[in-house]
Amino acid sequence: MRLRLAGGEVRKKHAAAYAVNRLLHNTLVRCTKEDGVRPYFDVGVFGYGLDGGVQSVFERDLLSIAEIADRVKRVEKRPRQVPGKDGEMMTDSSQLPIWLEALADGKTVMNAAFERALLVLSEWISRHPDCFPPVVINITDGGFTDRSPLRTVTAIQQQSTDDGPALVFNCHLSEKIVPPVTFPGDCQAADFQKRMRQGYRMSSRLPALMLRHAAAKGYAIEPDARGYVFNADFVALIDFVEIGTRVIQDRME
Amino acid sequence: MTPSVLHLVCQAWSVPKAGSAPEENEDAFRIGRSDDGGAGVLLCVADGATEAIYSRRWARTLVAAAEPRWPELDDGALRAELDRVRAGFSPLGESMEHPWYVRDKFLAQGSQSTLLVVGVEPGADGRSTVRAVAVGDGCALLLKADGTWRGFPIEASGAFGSSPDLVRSLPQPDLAFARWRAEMELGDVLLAATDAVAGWALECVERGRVELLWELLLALFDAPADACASQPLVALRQACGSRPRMRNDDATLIGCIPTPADERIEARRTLVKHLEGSRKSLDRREE
Repeated sequence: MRLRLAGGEVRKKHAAAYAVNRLLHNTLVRCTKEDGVRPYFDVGVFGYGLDGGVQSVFERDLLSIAEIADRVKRVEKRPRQVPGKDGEMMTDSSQLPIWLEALADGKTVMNAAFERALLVLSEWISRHPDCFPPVVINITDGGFTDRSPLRTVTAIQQQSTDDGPALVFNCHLSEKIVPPVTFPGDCQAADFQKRMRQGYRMSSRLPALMLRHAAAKGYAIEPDARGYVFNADFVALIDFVEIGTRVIQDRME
Repeated sequence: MTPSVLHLVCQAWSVPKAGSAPEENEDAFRIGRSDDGGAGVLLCVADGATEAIYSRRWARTLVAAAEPRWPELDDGALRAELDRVRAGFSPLGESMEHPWYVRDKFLAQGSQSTLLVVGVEPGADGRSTVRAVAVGDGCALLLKADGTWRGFPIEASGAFGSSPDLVRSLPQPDLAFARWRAEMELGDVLLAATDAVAGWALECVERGRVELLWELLLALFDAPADACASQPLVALRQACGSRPRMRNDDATLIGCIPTPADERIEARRTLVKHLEGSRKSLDRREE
């Protein structure tokens, strides 16, 4: 199954891996100063489905962004447009560090993945009660094949720091050539069918800053919009990840 | 009788944000005097962007390179000057020992800073011509002897944002500049400041508490020339009743006071006169 991507097509698992690698790279770059990487974030990346289990990409469930800098597996070259000296756009190549390789398809043990996330962030919150709350981003291409994650997601959303509750955002990837459903509110969700409704109920409402970021990217956003995208194409996937994490990066400044 | 030529008494103060060491202060400033011995001065402040890399060094490079003629150059000529500065800026040098992510960030985003360049040229008629050019939210504030004021390029404390325009070390063929011209007379005071101090000063003016600004300037002026010289700036971050509170950020302030003779005592008299005037105005409002 392939997603549309400018200049070609890409399989869903590769699109998901690209989105995560790009997020890690952008976050790392934002934290980088001339004397090193500032440890502004702790990050955990988990794959689920392979062998029916949940696996951390790194050797620990959570690493500081400074530690992630030293765990690049390889570097890919990708074309990009950059301004030349005279201001005209020219094609250059950028390098994308790769931490996460696209995993083989398997069962969608989504609840198990959320249970792992709950354990991890509960412990993290106990150590960081006054930090910005954790954001859990779930990227999947199908419905869960284990039990419904709704109860576990609710338990995650009930964890909170002094700054507010933990947030859960969900992105469903699709190969269908139909417009994605992006950041819906209650009114739009009233017409959702079963799978879409499940994903919607498992997604937190977007905080004010994220609402503004989404609007700035051109999305028609209602005040009660949730961090949920269904039938995401590649662009929607990238925007979803950026919007869901941007507010944390803004606060570090 | 107004003296024919005014002298300009100038002094600068700068403190890093709370919790940072002095060497982490990403503000830069410079007070320049004419090479030909003239009475004109250059006031320059720059605020390196925290989210960028080598921004402290870039801010210092910009203020070191700034010239009094920059405010008078048209956009094309000023962009050419900045290109010359960019060509000489190479913090990575020839070394390949920098971590890949440091090189990545610098090559992709470059270094970034706001920049305010103010040239003050005393005239033969006892007035000084002020010309300024700015990118971003470093501000000039001209406080007149009659109690009025003008701000550049920002005139309201609520207009400061989190994403000011920046001068980058990467090419910027379309970089736009804000420009300003004013006249300064004996009894006026000209300030140049980075955004934290500028925002605080504007809030004082807006709330009719300009006496706080004069108290600050006098405290800075009277402070001993040692490590505590800028301590009055640090105190602005503390909450104190209804007084405006300065945001926690690197903070830089330059004061420029025209005097009939090149003596600090004359400059201090100007500040005292402003303070007394502002207190009288406050008393009248409270009656």
